[in-house]
Amino acid sequence: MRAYWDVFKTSLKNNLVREFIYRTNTIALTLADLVWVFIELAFFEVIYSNTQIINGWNREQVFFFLGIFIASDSLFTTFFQRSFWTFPFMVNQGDLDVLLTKPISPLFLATFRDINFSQILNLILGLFILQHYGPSAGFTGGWNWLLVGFWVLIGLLTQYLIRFFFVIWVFWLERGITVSRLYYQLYALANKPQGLYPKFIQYLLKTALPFAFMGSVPAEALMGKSTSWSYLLVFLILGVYALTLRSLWRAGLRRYQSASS
Amino acid sequence: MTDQALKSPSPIRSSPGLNWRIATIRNGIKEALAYRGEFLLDIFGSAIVPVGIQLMLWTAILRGDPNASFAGMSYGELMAYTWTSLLFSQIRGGDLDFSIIEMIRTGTLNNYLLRPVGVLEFVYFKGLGEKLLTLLFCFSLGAIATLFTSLSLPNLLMAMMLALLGNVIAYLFGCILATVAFYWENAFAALMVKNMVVALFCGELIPLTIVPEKYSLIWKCTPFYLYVFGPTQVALGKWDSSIWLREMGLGVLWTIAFLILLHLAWKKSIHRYQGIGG
Repeated sequence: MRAYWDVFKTSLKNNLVREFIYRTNTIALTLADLVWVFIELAFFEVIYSNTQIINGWNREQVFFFLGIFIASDSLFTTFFQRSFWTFPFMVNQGDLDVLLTKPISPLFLATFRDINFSQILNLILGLFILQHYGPSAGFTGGWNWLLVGFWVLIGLLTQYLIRFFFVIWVFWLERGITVSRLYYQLYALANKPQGLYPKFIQYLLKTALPFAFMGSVPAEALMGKSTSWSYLLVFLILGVYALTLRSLWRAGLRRYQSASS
Repeated sequence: MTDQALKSPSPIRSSPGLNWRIATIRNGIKEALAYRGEFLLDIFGSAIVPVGIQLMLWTAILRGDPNASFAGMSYGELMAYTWTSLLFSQIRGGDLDFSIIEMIRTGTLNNYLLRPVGVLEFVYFKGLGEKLLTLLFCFSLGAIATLFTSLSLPNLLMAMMLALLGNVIAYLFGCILATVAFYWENAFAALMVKNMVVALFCGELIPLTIVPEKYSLIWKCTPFYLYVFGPTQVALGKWDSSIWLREMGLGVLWTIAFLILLHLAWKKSIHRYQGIGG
């Protein structure tokens, strides 16, 4: 574990140095991410300027949902998004070779190599939205803020697993980039509360494509709208996902033929 | 930048003649067809998913009640808008501006600057091949829909023309923003912001008529509504031929304005370009 921690620290330091060298880019990306948050809020502002409630979700509850979604998404984008984006290229071009020769998990190296600090501001913004809309959405605060931490981490883990599921196919496909892009298109399902969707889609979002664990399920749990069954379901589904991905990763590595060696 | 490159044709203006343009479009079509699976998967993902989400959203808001209305639009009107906008949302843009900033960043722009074709026109025509395929696909879908719905073929044709003009405007606007890449190490963020703003104000996510009146000036002051909202209104018959003509005229004005801006921006920015190792 010590080796992993050292590698993580080094990666953190190197990426931080890069962000300081390319300051303009970092600032521009931070602004872009803030615009993204603004667009998300504006979309629902327009919708709720014409209606009071949608399938049991009022404006404050939806904004509270967005707060938790933005917070967990910012962590994923900070630590993993870039690495996952470059992963298909790494496999296609044979750059994975280098990581396979290292004495620690190549998956760890592959997914922790590119950290993007421009999104970290969104974590604060997400928490601010939670704090602002929490009381009117039914979130009682106090010790429940510890649960916010827990659900933000669940959201992060969920996004990691789903994203990984969408890139792993690069070992079998010629150009895995399209499947990777499909993830971003389906991701649009995650940034709306699941209550807006029909039952079948809600079921899908809590099982095969568990995008609901990134925002909807956490928001419902924090607003006291869910039962302990939700917690069990989250662990069960994410456990199945993790085990499946472990097998796929091993099978993928067996199939991997380096282009460079 | 070398003197030779600076003396070469403008990145915007190219040598006259249709031959190289047709060949470039043909290459673009071949490239799109070479990866047919990806092409179709891309269309599926970028069209069906957003439309599906919108349909579910309108159903959730109005609970499928055909008599209910939302911001003055009935359930049927919202459904018609969403399905029709699907035909134009695929034509509106693309990632061509991203490929230009990548050329500037990596130095591969060199290869194009030394050729007798304008790089911006070349990139556009290359992408146009794929867009024409998409347009043909969407037009066919629309033409089939005229058999079962109130859509009419003349309206669909007019709408497609407006959408194609919107595509040109979208590209020109993207190219103007791409000049930021000459100053910053990466203009990715600028284009990302543009894409997000356009997605909201082009009418792809929501019909712009539901935007509250006090905010409506925001989208009316941009050309983005000509990408999806305008063509959808024309196809649905909400805009008659006189409005279509006016909007086409406005679109042409936007195109001219962006062409001038683009010319000025590139002329000034290209002097900063250093194609090291390209």
